[in-house]
Amino acid sequence: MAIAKMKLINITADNEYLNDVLLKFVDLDYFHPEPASKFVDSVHGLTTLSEENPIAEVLSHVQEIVNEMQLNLPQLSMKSRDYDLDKMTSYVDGIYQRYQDGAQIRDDLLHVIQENKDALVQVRNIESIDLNLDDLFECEYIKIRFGRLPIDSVEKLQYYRNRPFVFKSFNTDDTYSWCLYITTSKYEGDVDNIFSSLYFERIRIPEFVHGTPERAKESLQEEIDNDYKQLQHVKEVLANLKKECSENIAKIVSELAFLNHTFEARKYVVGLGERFSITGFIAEDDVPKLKASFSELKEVEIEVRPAHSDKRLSPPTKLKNGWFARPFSMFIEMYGTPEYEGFDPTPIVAITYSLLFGMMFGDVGQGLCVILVGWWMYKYKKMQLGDVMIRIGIFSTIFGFVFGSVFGNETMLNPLYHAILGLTEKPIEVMSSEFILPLLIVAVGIGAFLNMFSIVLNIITHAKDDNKGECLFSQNGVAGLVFYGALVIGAGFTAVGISVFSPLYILLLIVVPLLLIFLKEPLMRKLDGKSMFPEGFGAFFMEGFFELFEICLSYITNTISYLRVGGFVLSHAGMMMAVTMIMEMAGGIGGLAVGIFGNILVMCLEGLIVGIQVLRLEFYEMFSRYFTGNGIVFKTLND
Amino acid sequence: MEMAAGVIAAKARSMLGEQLSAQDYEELLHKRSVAEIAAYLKNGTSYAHALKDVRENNIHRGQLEDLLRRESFRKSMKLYRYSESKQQQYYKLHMQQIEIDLLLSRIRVLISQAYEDAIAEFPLFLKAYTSYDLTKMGNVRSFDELLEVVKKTMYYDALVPYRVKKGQENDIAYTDIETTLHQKYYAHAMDTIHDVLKGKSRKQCHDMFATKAELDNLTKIYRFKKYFQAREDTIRDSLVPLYHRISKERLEELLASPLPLFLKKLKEGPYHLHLEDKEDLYVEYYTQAYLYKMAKRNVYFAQDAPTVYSSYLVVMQRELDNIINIIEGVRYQVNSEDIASMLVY
Repeated sequence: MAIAKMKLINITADNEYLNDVLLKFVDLDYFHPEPASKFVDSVHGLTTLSEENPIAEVLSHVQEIVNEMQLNLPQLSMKSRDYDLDKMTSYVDGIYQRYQDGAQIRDDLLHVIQENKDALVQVRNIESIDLNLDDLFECEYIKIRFGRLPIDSVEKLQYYRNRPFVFKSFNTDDTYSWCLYITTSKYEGDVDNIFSSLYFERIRIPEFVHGTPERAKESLQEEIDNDYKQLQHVKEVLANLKKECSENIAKIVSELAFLNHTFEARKYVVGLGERFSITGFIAEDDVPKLKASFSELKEVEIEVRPAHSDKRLSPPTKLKNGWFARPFSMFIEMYGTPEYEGFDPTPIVAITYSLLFGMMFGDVGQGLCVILVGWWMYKYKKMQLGDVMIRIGIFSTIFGFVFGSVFGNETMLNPLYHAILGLTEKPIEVMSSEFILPLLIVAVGIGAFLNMFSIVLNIITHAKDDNKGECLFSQNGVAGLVFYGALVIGAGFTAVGISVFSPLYILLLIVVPLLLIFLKEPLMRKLDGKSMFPEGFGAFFMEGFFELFEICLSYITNTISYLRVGGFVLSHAGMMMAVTMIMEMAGGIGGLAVGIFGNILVMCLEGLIVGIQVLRLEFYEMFSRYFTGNGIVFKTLND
Repeated sequence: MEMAAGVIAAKARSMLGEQLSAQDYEELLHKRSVAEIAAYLKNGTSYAHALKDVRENNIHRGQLEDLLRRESFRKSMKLYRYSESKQQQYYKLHMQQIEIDLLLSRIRVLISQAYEDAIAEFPLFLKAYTSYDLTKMGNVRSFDELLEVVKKTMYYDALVPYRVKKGQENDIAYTDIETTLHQKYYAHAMDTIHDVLKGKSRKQCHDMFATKAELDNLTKIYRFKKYFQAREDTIRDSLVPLYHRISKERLEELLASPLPLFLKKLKEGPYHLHLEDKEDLYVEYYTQAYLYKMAKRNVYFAQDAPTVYSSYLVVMQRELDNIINIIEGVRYQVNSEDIASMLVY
């Protein structure tokens, strides 16, 4: 469980084999390529082979067509070297043209149907009137307009009450009034203008409508039905078109995506005259795999060198962890990437996160639910968080056994304790008043232990880097460890009635380390052979004093921060106690419903809060002491 | 925090989440007609409900803008209904601002005599909320009739000195009336804030209103200097006499400065407006951007209902102005980059 050992790889061949190499290169999901620009800038005569990508635009155009046609394309994998871009474009454009023609007819039909429906509404409004519509519209001296008017505008008609028109509203919906107005031929233009300014939407009765409103209604309904049939036919044609072309277009999209990817990969190719090379890093274990994938191409040379053999390049970090720790790498990536020569905190996070979460969420039943939900999320939604939930769920279940809680029921496991441990009831009663203080002390103790552990990790990291100053004099170095450790141990002994705070103890284990921390910068300068106080002791003292105060405060706060572990143990138990009480009060089916809903609520609420709180402890209390995350992420071409 | 404060804050923040995003504005800027804009707003934005019965291909620009204004007002009422009764005077300030805008609009109609043109855009939907009879206001054809409509309101005393006889509407001193009404409004607003609100709420609301007034003053000074080369006293008389971040002395300095120096002082002043050096500077963009950022921050972080309410209204109004700028820009075929330069979001 660590950072994978890297090898620097150089793939070289003649230019005629570029496409063959690129075809294989784009599929490598274990190769971290270095961009050609890193080499071209520093060596005369090298060139990049990246050129304008003709595929990107075509791919984008095809994607737009796919989106507009709302095609559901099957997932295909096309990786052909023989392609005809013009043929592909011409095919897609041809299909799109046919689609557009059909879509235009569809839209026109929809428009006509809407118009006819509006006309039908109006005709229905006057169906009780026994007159011939032809007579109505052939009137020489009066003009009739059917339509709809916004309700706001109906109110505004009062401002035109002295104008020559008659207005009649038939019915209204939320926004519009379905109506008609009648005016004379002489004032037709004027009145039409008034209504137009009020956003009147005229609804024309189609010319094929004749006779009485009753007959008009039938004609319109018949026309609408016919239009719907035609529309249905057009939709079928379009659906068939989509079905016919889906597979071909899926092949084209897949091929274009592959070609685009290959073109994009050219930015990693360095031109060496008649030859080219691609440089990158792979894990040491993957070297045989790489050689095997290029084994068919005898003309391709693969050179394997140590990771640091090229000073221009820094090896990336690829985390390699076992089953348990692997999913926790997402938390590490949130914070930063470990340096290649550095230290991978993933296993530590895996253990501490699981332990702390388990403690704060200890319940057998709920822990099992977390495992199940996590498994489902990982298997079906491919969520890494689901994988994390499986592990923390296991620890929640374990601590559930420790606290004796199953879905909030505190007595269900008593027979188990009796059978295994010979106890009449569970050993730990979380809600007991006698347990609270020990719980909080244990929480603080865990905090102190983890703080010291983090400091030790920091010491080891800096010792490996030969960074003496940070290793010895930092608040997270030996001086800090001695200071903090002395205080914690002294406090512990004092709590049990043994006083260790003798003058010698205080002087050697508290004052001296504190002084070293205070003088860290000057001592580091001294180790480098420079002046200790370049700006004078006075300036240093003022700044250093307040910094030291802050450091001491941070030791206290970082320790007390772990009280939340105890706090959440209590709050979880308290919330489940409330759920249980309400269950008992409700009784029967109602009580069962309360129990189910209450458990779901607590699991979601507490689970989320506890997860975030533990992450906070990891990042702020622990990582801030030993982890910087300045490494380079291992990224393949597909990432 | 009282219950009303909690409800208003929660609702305002929730409604803020429905605001148009940068991507929405990007899409709207690429629309080629009012119909396309209407279709976009109708499908998948918070205006979908207001536009549900609209036929995109038939809708007129003015009608679309009306519907959007109505929807904005409806959103403000959604918050207003939860206001505490003892703070009602404060919450009415928003409506009073609208009433003043309607009054000024009517006065402009009196001057232009374009009565029928004004009917379509007249917001009759506000009639249930105004302190004067809005229906009668729509029928006003003389200054006396206007005074009759506002007789029992706070606007009457401000308008009486500017009375003109029927037939002499051309002589209405519009600019003076506008100045008087705005000055009266802000004086009334500050009194209301002082009387009705307490503590941090009072401080923050005062800050909002005073900042708006001051930014409006700065805009006026710029426009007077740039386009009218007006005298100091003319400009001074048109300003709202509120000194918030800019003291009276400093304002006098700004009034006395020639335009380039005025702009320099604006950049260095308490508002730190990042004005670009260009010939036709649209200074409202910068002042409105400042106010918008301040308001948006208040919606998220303020704890009292009046501040959240007023801030939300600023943000909402800004969105409405953005959409209307886009509609009119597209309608009159303005370059999309020019339209984008006016948007604040």
